[in-house]
Amino acid sequence: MNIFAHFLLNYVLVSAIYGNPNNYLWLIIIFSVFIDLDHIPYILKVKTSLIKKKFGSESRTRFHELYGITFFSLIFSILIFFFDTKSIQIAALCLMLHYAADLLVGKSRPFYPYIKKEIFLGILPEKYRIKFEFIFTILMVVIIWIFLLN
Amino acid sequence: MDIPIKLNFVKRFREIIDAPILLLPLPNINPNIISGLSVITSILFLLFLKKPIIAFIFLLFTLIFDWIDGIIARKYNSTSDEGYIVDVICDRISESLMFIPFFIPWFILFALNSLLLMISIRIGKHISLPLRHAFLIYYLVIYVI
Repeated sequence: MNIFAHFLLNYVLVSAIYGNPNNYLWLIIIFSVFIDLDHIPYILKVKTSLIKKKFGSESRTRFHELYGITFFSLIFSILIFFFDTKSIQIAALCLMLHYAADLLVGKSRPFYPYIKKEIFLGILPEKYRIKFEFIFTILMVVIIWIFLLN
Repeated sequence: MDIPIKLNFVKRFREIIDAPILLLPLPNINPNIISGLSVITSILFLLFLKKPIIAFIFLLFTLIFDWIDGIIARKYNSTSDEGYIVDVICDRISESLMFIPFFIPWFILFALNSLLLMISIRIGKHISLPLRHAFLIYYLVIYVI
């Protein structure tokens, strides 16, 4: 899923669960998108053929899979004792929703690097993925515009 | 590395529990889609947290979807390594999402469960704690009743 859709989805859900998402805006932005930084080595590797190859499961490192989920959840479980509980919860929510959204719409290799088998849930046929992401992003903007900014 | 195998007593327990359900006319749907639905109902659970009865219904649906995906896979002989991976990753993501507002101790238990899964992959035997089932009882007692 694109980074705008990740951010907008997380913004809506943080608003629904905790209220006042603008108080945690930077936290939402950072934890919605920072895991996608692992695409950078892939972008540098494929360069001009990125449009053709797109962001498949091979564009992700282990931190984008179960390994990352375990690693970051353990970190959050330690940080909760030292920092503001609500901030840690919002950071964890944004990160876990990122994993959930990526799993629901695209292909992934959850057990990478131990088992490299690729999986696809099939809820959304792959040929509609780009169109769905576009419509979903617009829908999130509309929801925020109507319900949260007014 | 191979896909972790389930422990014998867990397999037998599931066979006993699943036997009556296998007799029902279940739809022949891709089990991966049903696993994915359990993640979606987890997100809906979060959205309706302020309405505990509706949230509880979504929690119940999450567990039902998680239960019937395996049953449908067995009924229509579509069990596979991919199905196992989908089932397990959907379980962990569903747990992680539902437990965030109940961070101590639930999210910490999820982190340990996730670590247990990593160990399972390394040793080749599937070990996990049924956290969502325990959470269902906890949520029912504390928030619904």
